[in-house]
Amino acid sequence: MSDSDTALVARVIANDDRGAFELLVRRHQSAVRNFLRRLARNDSERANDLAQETFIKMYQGLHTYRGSARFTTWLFRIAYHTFLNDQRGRHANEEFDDDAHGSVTDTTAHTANALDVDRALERLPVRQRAVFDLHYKKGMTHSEIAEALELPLGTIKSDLVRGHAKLKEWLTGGTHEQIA
Amino acid sequence: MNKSPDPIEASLRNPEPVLADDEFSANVLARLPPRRRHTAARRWTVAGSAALGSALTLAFAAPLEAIVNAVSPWSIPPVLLSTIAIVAIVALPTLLVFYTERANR
Repeated sequence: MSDSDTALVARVIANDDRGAFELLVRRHQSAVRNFLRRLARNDSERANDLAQETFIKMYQGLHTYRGSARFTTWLFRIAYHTFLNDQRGRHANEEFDDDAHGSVTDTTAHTANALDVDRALERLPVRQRAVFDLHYKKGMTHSEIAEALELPLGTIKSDLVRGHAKLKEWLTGGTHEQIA
Repeated sequence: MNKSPDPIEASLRNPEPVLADDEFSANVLARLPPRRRHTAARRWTVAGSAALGSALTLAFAAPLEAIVNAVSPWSIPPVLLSTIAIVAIVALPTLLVFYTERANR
């Protein structure tokens, strides 16, 4: 039986057990890299760099993990803040760039394949992208997302409703509006 | 009649791809700070240094006193001299361990 995340964390804290730390990284690297790819609009190289930084910060901050929240909730919080810090440094423009990303309204109305939805997700603001990824891809509850992103529960629920409405409009409505 | 599922909802719920680790974990491990020394080892270092320092001070107390009295215009009591020596010998490794620990945090 494999060790739980909490047991591995305890081994790292007690003995600086690098083997236990490596197990944690191997176990969660795919989810964290996918999450950061979503936030970085599919920029794999940037996502991988930020994921490495996330795990280094995780190592440095393990002694602050109290185990009151799920380990993954805590880990995605680090990943999200790592992305936001990087984003601030880049002064990135969060507006969608049609030339770079193409138009999702070219697709046939009333159909939504995975590629269309992925492209439409890229148009959402970063916070909503994070909320959608954690909810739909990581299966986290609204409360867990609120804890991970350090946002009120109502904000998470409204992001999901509004984001869903936008996706529906972009993918089936036929109008192409810029994100406000 | 069954209501057809929302295609957007269905697409959103598609599982994400599992990314192969490749060298990712190895790269993260390579970027970690140097391994911390075990607490027990640090305690033994301090205790050992203290014991060794005390033994050396005792062994060399008499010749040390003679040297200090020969070069110093003041007469320093052997007890004070031994105390200063012991404190210095114990304090140095203790400070070293303290700063190493702080650097590793």
